[in-house]
Amino acid sequence: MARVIFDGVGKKYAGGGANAVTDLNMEIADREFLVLVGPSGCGKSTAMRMVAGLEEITEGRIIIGDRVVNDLPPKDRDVAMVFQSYALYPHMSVRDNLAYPLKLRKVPKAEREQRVNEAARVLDITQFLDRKPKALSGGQRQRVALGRAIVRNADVFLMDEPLSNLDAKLRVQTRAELIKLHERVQTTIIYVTHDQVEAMTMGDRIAVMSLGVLQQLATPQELYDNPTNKFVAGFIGSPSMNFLDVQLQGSEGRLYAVTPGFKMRVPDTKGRALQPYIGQSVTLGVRPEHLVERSRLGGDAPPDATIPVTVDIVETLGNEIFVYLTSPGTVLTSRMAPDIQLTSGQQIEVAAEPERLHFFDPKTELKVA
Amino acid sequence: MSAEAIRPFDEARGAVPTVAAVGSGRRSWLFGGIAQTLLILWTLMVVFPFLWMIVSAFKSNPEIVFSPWQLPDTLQWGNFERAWTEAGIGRFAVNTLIVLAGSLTGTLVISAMAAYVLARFEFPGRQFIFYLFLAGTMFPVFLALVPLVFLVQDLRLFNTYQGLMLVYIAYSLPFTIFFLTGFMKTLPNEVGEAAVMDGAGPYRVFFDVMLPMAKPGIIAMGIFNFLGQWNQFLLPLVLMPNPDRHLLSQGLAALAIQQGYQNDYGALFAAMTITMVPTLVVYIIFQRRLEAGLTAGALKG
Repeated sequence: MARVIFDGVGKKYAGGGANAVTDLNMEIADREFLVLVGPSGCGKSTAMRMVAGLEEITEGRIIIGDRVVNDLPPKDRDVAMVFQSYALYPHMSVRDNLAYPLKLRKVPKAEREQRVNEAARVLDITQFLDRKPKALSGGQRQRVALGRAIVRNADVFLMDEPLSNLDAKLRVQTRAELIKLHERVQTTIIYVTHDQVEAMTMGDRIAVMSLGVLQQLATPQELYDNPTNKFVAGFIGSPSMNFLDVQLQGSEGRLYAVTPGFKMRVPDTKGRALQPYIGQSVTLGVRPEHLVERSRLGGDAPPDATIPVTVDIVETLGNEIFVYLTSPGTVLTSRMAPDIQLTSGQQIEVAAEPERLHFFDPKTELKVA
Repeated sequence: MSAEAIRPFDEARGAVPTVAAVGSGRRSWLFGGIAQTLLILWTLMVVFPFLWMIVSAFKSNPEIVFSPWQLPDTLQWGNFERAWTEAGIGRFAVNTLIVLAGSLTGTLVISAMAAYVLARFEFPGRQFIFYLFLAGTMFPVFLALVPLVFLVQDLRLFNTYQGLMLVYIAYSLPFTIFFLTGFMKTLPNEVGEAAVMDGAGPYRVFFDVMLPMAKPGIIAMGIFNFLGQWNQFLLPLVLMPNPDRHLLSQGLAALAIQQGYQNDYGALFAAMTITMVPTLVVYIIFQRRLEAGLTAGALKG
């Protein structure tokens, strides 16, 4: 059993400056694959390194299993780590690299060999066991780094951007292998990345961080459908969500989002939550894939719930097209099916289903509806 | 010491213009040509006395005096025999090897450990200690000579191998630590952290992981200090006056004076050849590693 609990964890570096991590609270279940994601400098690596014991915890507690590990040295935490640069021992053969953690734990030689061979078999690196790391390709080194974690049977695996040094194709392949590996070894994994695609595809749950603060901890689908704030909404999804500053106006019991270019009726389902914002500005967010040409909207959109726009640029990708749309004061991106015929300069109307519209408070950036 | 010890470094650097001159275009070809010509001249100037010394070591005394430019009629191996036994070069060589074995080991072990800590750990006074060592590189041996003699005498190490070893180590540490600190800083941090995660304590991290990774730098400093300490003359002269304990450099100096009276130039040249050969061999074998080690930091940074 190895759950990992962050209890009010903070990290302050000597010499002042902003906190690297502020009041982080989350519970990672046993055998969960948790992804820590965020832009560089958001504190995700620092949070992970505090679990590893490579960084001191300056506030709060970290609990692994049932032990508070704040004052435990790394070797007593039963945590294995895979580094971004792989960090293999360059002067040791692959076999010795894999055996090193076992040797330090005084595992008998016979068992050591057996575990190394087993890990090598799982990762398909048996034929490289007697090579030095420098004679391996990036993908092979990556496997050795994983192997060094696997042989230990540690309770918790930490992975610090392990795929970022691989080329695009290999990355996709290794991503799938890591998911399979997790099913097989059944350990708790904390995985750090700045790549939201990796986060979405691999994580049981995802913790989105920004400026040292946890923004949202949820399943990939929940993050996508229901982001708690503008940062999460913009970070998850590619191309990222469109944001528009709109004025909320009420007339005849209906709500309208108004910009210099259009006046769009706000779905009634959002009305209640938006009441306090009538007469003020809010941020309207809609994902590119949810912004469709009016006639394609399932059911029929009320005529005043659409946005009139001009087609600016059309990018064809084969299986889909990206359309850049302009309306006075705003630019919108839309992701549409490739069978639609659009030309630059064409006037169209776009709309989104009511539940696909997100409204954010412009000051706190929290989602209000 | 430091001025002598620096020399191989400068020689290594002397090779750089040819490398830099490799390139396209007429101009670089012209400069390359001039540089090559100058280097060939320089090489002749350096190599010729060496060759003359080696050739003379095989000549008889009259040959050296009356036909200095000719090759020997018969090889006079007896010169080497006399140099080794009668002139005591054999004994001096053993003395030198004993001192160097201790002083080189001491220098490298202490320097590697100190450099590792200075390069990798944050602690109060780190900068101060580092600059203190750096200042040591600027302190000429001559200034310390008299107090050094008293110090070594007070330690009852005058005329002993250990005394000379200690002084050699002390004088080699500043530059070696300075160099290795820079070298250690270029080593990837994550590998050390990986060892920590694998369960290694500070000593294990150093000996199992960081030290092997620092090997090119340590080898470079080993050769560098071997050359510097082998060529050391002043320190043994004042700290090892006992003729039984003379080192090669002292022995050779004494021999130069003595053989002048005995008119045994052949043995003198043979002695010089014996003295020079080990440094030459070490340098030729390890030349690539020395240069690679000396520039490794720059290339990685």
